[in-house]
Amino acid sequence: MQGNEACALGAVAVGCRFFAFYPITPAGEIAEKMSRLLPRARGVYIQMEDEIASIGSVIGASWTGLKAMTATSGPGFSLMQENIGYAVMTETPCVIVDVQRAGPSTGIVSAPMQGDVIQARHGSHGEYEIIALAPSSAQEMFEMTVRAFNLAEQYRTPVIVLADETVAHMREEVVIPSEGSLTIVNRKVPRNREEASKAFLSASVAPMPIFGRGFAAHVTGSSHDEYGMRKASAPEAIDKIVRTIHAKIASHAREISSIERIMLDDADIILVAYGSCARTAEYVVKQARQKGMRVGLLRLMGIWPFPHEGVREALKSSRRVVVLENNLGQLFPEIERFAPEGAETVFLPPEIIGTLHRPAYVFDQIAKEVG
Amino acid sequence: MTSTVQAPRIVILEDLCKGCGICVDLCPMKILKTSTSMTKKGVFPPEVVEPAKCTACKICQYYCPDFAIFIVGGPKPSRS
Amino acid sequence: MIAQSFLRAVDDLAIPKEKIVCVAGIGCSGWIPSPLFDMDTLHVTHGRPIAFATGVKLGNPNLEVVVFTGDGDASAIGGNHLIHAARRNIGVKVICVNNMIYGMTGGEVAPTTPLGLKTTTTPFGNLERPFDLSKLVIGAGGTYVARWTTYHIAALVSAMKKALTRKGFAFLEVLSHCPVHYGRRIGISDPVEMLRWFQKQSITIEKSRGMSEQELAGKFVVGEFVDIEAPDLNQMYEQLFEAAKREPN
Repeated sequence: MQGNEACALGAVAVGCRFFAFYPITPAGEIAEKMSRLLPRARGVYIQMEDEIASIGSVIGASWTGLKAMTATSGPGFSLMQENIGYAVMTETPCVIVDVQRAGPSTGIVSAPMQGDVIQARHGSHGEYEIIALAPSSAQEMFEMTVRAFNLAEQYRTPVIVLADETVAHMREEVVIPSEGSLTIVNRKVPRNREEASKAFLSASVAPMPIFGRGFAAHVTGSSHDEYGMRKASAPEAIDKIVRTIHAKIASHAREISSIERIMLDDADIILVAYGSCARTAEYVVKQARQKGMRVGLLRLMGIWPFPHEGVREALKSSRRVVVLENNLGQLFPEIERFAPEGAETVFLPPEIIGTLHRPAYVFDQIAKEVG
Repeated sequence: MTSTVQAPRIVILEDLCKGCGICVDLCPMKILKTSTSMTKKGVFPPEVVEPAKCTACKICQYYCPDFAIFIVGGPKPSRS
Repeated sequence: MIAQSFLRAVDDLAIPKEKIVCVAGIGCSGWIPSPLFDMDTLHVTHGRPIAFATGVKLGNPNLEVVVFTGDGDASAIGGNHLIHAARRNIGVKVICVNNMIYGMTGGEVAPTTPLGLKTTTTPFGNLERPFDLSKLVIGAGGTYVARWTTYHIAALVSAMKKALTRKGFAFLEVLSHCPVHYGRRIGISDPVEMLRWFQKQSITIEKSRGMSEQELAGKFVVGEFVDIEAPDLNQMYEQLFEAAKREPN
């Protein structure tokens, strides 16, 4: 099945019961599938008047206890940023699928690019940390959507599934786990009003006082304290918010952001890639190995919070690190920071940005070095 | 008309008052006037000049922007 | 006054506090429910309370969802969400506090500011015609549209009770005296004077019928403009869920 379809199946399987959407290519198939799956599950599919309303209604629905999602591409992702920041600030679990396409602006609606990586991390104003996952296959469109919801519920945060046009539209075999075998994480909800009062700013993630239970939840995007009461003039309050929300996620980077190690043990040259670029990279690694080159691939599955420990560990014995991204180097500086002291770290975009790397081209670049 | 259970009492919470004067102006019985002594907040709150004339219409209470004046007791108004 | 009127309406109707969710925009109106009402309150981003409220109402149809928004919040940045909520007939009750200016930020011109008025950003006079917010919502298909001023407290409470007890969308425009930012610019900086001004300038919809545009110039037409029955969005979803249950894969 198609990656987008798999994403929708994953969402419904893990319990998503609210999906708001504004039409945009190449995310349309997610919406079409959701609009067909949800009514049977008494879930709401609604097409809102714009992307801002989509993410807004998703956050509203999340506060009634529902697992809620929206999907979009670059232009819509840009519009959603203010409310994504709101979800971060109010510790609202929700999932945003950004099927990246070639930008900036309208760009090319069905060409792949990885141009929204920094935006996923810092698209909203203010200082915060966020979770972003990078699926590389149709199977991962299913699995990472499931994981996105679980992480959102566990950490009470918006989670971005940073797909791209290629992964969204590719058709591959997807194995759907049997009902009941899926791990599903649900948010902690207070048992009584007393437990509900300290609803924010806990390093261990406060129980979420969902609406309609008599908790008198006070949710605000303004600076506030643990009770949700507005503290609009004390800098100490915003300091606590910024540090707590950041640490809530950053301190769990290792559990949150996974990596995949492919033939790294004796690798001399290590390719680093994520999303659709990782498919090309893996192919090139296999080719290189056949030619006797000691090449490996470090695939990043979670990119924010950046898996710095895993990356440092994986790259530690490499002589040369080649980072493949379909952009002009958005994750590259992070990767370079954690590459070993003596290694040469190079950035390798496709010959034509907005297309996948040509495997022969990548192979030649590596072979050149090996000599 | 229902009979009076107890004479209505006008309660003024000076600390909440901002001295807008709306209650003084709107009282149909004209029994409130602006005090000449300032509250801690530096405003001139209302004071009751003829408490016996209060009909408990609650206009002062309903119009106060700050919940600073309310009526306790007295007959219910004949229409809400 | 709007805060108190709302609480009175809720109290009169004996609506349990646990059933109410107040969604507030950004501006002075947003501070009506958040955070001092002892209820679930959702204080959101500027212009978006109606969008968030739509999600809340669809997420839990049993909740009474009330939006507190200002004229700038609802009709400038939030205009799109306002007209679509009216069109959808989603059971969200919108209380729009209209002071005809941007108050919180110091007095800038708003889409509701009368032509010619000098504000902080129209020092030479407003060049634009204002919205009639109620007409806008009527045009968008609002099934309950009413307008009162902060002078008409009794009517306001009645209208709020009506909005809260009927199904579907409700839009209650409340022309609100703002002596500090608006009144000052028309020479009325005293709150009592401004309330009396509202009293004098208001005319009910019934009385205004048959009057010419010139006669109505500068007047505030108040009253209940629309009150019609139409299936609300939650009902439509229920029907869909029932139909989906019956349909084979």
